[in-house]
Amino acid sequence: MEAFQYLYNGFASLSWMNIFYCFLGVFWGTLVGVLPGLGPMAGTALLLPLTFKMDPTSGIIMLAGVFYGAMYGGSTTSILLNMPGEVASIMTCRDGYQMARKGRPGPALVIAALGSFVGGSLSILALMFFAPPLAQVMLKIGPGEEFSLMVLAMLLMSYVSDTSKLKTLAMAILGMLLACVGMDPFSGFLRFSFGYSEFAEGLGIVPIAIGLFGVSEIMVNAENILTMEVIKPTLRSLLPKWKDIKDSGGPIIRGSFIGMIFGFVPGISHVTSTFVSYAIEKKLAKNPEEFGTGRIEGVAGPESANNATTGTSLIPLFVLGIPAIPATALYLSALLVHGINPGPQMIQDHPQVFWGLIASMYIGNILLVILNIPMVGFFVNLLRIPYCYLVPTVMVACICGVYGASFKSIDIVTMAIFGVIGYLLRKFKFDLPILVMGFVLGDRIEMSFRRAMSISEGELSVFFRSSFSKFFIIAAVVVIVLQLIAWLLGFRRGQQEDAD
Amino acid sequence: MAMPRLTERVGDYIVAAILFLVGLSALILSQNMPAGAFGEVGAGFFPSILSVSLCLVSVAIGVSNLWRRDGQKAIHIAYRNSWWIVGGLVIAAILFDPIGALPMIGLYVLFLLKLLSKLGWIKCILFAAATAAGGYVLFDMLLGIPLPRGMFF
Repeated sequence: MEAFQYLYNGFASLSWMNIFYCFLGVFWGTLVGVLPGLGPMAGTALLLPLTFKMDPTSGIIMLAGVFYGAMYGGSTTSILLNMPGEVASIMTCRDGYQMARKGRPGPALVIAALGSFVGGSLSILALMFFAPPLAQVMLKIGPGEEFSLMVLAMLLMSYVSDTSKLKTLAMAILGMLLACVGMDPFSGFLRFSFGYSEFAEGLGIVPIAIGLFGVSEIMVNAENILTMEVIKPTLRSLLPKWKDIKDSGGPIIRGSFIGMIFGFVPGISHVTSTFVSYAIEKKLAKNPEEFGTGRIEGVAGPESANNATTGTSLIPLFVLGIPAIPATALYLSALLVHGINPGPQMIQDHPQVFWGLIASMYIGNILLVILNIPMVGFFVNLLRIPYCYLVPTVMVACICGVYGASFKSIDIVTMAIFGVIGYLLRKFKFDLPILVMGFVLGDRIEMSFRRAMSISEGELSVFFRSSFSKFFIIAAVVVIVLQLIAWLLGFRRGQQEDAD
Repeated sequence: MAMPRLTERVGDYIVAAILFLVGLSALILSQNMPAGAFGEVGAGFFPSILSVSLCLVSVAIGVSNLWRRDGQKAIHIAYRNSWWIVGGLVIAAILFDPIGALPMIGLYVLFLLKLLSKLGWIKCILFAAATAAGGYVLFDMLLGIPLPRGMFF
């Protein structure tokens, strides 16, 4: 009941300006999800500098809107173009596009939007009810436990990655090493600055994120500039049949719960939840061989799952200060810039940020259904803009956005360099989001370690004193052992195949 | 002599080598930083640990590649458009302050349009001018991000 009281306060404190920022965020997120060339990470990074001048509540509301807006927007291109606007919409392509080819893009779009709405709403409820009590429990953790937990989170992220575990670990370490550039927060010593005062404040998250995700995406898309054939639904054809709604009910509920669970665990990406949801719906179906030919369940389940991660993925950020998914790493940066330290104290010290965000997410969810169903024609027409016009527009936004973050043109060069790095790393299948996670968490991991060592006067036993810390360390060792076993099994299988 | 084909496997070796060099360089640079003691950990401690870890992981990537069976798929990176886009971006960044944001954005957009499309000069110039003006109005006037004026304004 207390949660509802706080939620009421959250709604009451939500100004028209914040609702406007929420609308801006979800509109921009939908655009970013629909249009090729950016993606939610770069789209969020572009808005990040704008939030520096805002109230922290307004800034987080706008940034959160980008993320779940992009989830909605990505499904539009998946269904109409067979091209996922966002990685999490890959599974929607399979059956969504087939439905569009059979003359039923409208029901696919509407069910995707409704599934996203239900998934998003349930996820916000979970955030509302689980985050505050978990934060109370986590108040007991100190810097030693914080260090062990963040190391466990980084190891878990590399273990559950879709790409090679070693490559992901390398990216995590590289990200943390990049975070060391600049002034050491404890002693003021300048690290890796090569005598340039521009690097005294360290590398900026904005040029790195926009370079790695935005510029590299543009470089990849520029390899083959295609003219896209878009299936355009009429407003009348948007109406689903009663059978579509009946068949979607179960998948939407199941997908929502799958997404909520996956969103909560750091490292398991929202993309994985869509694969799991699709697999479960196919398993439960009477005619699983029909999946891939235009089954509505193949759209409803994954779309609900990917939006259901949005709320619960904020729980580790607000309760532990650890971003569960790459997009929330940028929210962490935004909060830190405003002097708000995400963690167990945050909900207590800054309730207006937390409850204001939850209230805005309810509103944002409704705005997205309004934007994505009747306005689908508008977004579809955007897809007809020739790519040769989109690229310069996006690049101008990237340049001005990066310049706006620090007013240093050297950051534009940094963005270009990371664009090249991102392009090459993508080609060789290295995990880019984990590099950003390592960069954002690197400072905090180092600070927790040094604080813990200072408090314990050099005793390493500080990391084994409390039961929390022991649990995190043991879990980290288990993850390392599992990785070694998986690697050895792969090696032995390879040797056996050679012998055969 | 024929150029070796760039495959996923070869690419992994190259990236592993680069990561190893990055780790090694960071380790050498960290030696000039105070490591401190356990009770008061210095600025150089964490970068040293990370650089050693990076070196070890990059060696592990290289070694694990030795018995990799797949990875023969060719990787193409020599796409002219992609490299021209980023090359133009670097030049735009260098000239951003001296020439000014408005002219530089216009020139860069013009360059990208001629690179990526078959549009005529007039259409390209008009679109470039409109984009530069639009960018100025949006970022400088509406969002309050003062873009550099340069020598012409």
